[in-house]
Amino acid sequence: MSLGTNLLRLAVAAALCAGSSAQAQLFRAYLISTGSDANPCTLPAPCRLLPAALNAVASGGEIWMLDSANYNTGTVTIGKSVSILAVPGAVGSIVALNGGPAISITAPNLKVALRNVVIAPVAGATAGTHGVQMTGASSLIIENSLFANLPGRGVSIVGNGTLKMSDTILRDNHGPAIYLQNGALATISTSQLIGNFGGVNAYGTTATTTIASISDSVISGWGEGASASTTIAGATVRVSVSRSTIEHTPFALQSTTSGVGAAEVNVGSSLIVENGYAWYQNGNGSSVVSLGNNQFSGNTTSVGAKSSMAPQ
Amino acid sequence: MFLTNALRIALASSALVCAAAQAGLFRAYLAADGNDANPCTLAAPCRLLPAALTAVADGGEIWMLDSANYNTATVTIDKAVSILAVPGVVGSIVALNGGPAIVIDSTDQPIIALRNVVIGPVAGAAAGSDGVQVNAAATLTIEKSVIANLPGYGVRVKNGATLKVNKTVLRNNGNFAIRLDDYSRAMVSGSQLLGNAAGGVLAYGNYSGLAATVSISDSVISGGNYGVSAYADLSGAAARISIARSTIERTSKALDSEASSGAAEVSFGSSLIADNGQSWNVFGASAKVLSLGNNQLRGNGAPLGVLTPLAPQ
Repeated sequence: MSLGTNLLRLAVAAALCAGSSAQAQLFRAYLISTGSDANPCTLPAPCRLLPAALNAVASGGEIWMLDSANYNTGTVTIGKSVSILAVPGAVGSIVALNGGPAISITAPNLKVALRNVVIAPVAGATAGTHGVQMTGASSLIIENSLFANLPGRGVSIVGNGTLKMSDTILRDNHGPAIYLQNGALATISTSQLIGNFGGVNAYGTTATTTIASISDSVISGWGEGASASTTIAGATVRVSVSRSTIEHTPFALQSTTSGVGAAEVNVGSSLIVENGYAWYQNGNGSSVVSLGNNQFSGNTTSVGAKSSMAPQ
Repeated sequence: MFLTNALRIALASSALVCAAAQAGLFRAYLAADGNDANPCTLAAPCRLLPAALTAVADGGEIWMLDSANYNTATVTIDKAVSILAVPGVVGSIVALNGGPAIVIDSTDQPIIALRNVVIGPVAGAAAGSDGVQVNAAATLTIEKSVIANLPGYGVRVKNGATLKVNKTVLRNNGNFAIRLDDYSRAMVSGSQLLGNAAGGVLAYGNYSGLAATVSISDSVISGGNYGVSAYADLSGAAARISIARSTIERTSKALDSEASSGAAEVSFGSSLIADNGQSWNVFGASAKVLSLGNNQLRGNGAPLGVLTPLAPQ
């Protein structure tokens, strides 16, 4: 694509001329604790806060946080494709406060990546809500990050967005670690969802398909561990759990419908222990399906049926 | 040091930081060249944890900005707080003079996190005891940390505390790496419990009507007397330990379940149990060791008692 090539040339040219080219869009924008948002966000003249870097960076570019600091003062709205990362060894903090999420993505068709960031509340300030709230049909990748102590959800995806999360800790949030609704598709691996009010909660309230896979992860805390729920005809929600642990939750595997829609939680090669309900299956069209090789122990009780799927 | 100083100066002008400073800091800072007479802001960090704990707001954070030791005696945590060393630095907290490095006694059910800290002894000083003691129903998460070489337990929790140990090394401590009493609960994942003299994890059920419960996933336990031990000695009390996708090797007794009264249970699946003196040790009518039937047992000495099948589901 000649347009793409030209854009690339422009971006590279901007990078090569970094410091002298405030207007051109950067392929990589830089933030530092000593930066100023009056700067062009180049390496010699970095900016201070994420909104300035988001303005400066080209679509598809990168934002680097160069040292340990907090990089926002209000909800950060991401409106272009971008990778935001703290360099290894730095704490790249993004906070949720004043009634909003730390990060909001409402636009469709973006590719956004967050890597090595820490998302938390501000003790003593007016409370925020979620860590990342995405309502646009965009792609979100979260790697090697921490979401802790938020008043709301860790990550909330409503609509046809996709989430790919790996090597991330979601801890002690007051809502579900990961909330999916109405068409969201989530891939969760090698992550720890600990002490949240809900692990992975997936809902279908429109005639959409909502899917999550959870691999090599741990879920522990309040509310549901892995939950699929529908309230409308035509809604499909499926949560698959493999090589994972769900422990010390009130409801480990929950699949419910209001009598319509199709909700499924399936589980294989996993440890399901010390939960209140090992499984909670309720409503026409709901199912909890086991591969038959899971380790259940120390759970108090269960509701409904646990059906089986044959390993192949 | 230039970067650290620059960082302090820069954030001193931040409205966010200044606003927080007056009403209890949302983030309190410690540095090797800090001073406890300072307000524990980034511009003027403190030196030791007690000062930062006083300055920080309930639910706030304490950042250790560079590699140093951040206490001179037992640190009492009495509020919800996250304590972390920034990546790339060693945030050291020591146990000495007969006490633990950290004690949590608050009955307000605080949620506390330790991240990227190193807890150890002070060679040459009067010996301390444990790494962390939780003596009330607090929730403590320890992640990406090292707890090593202490005379006593790595972490000891009781009175209904909740402990989550994630991606942490507990090494060469004098007692168990982790001990739970009464109806406390623990989750251990992605961690290494190596060379602790008494062993890896002890769950001691000594509270009638309730259970001390532990799950262990994706972890390694090596060395010491017990890999895991579920132990109950009170009528109505219970201790349960569940193990998945883990390795227990080179211990004297890998899977120990003992109930002179009450009930004790260890279950394990998808795990490697190798080169232990005993693979399992079951003592008492209400003690069980349950196997999912898909474990790899090799090179162990003779077990004591019966291994009970646990039907996979």
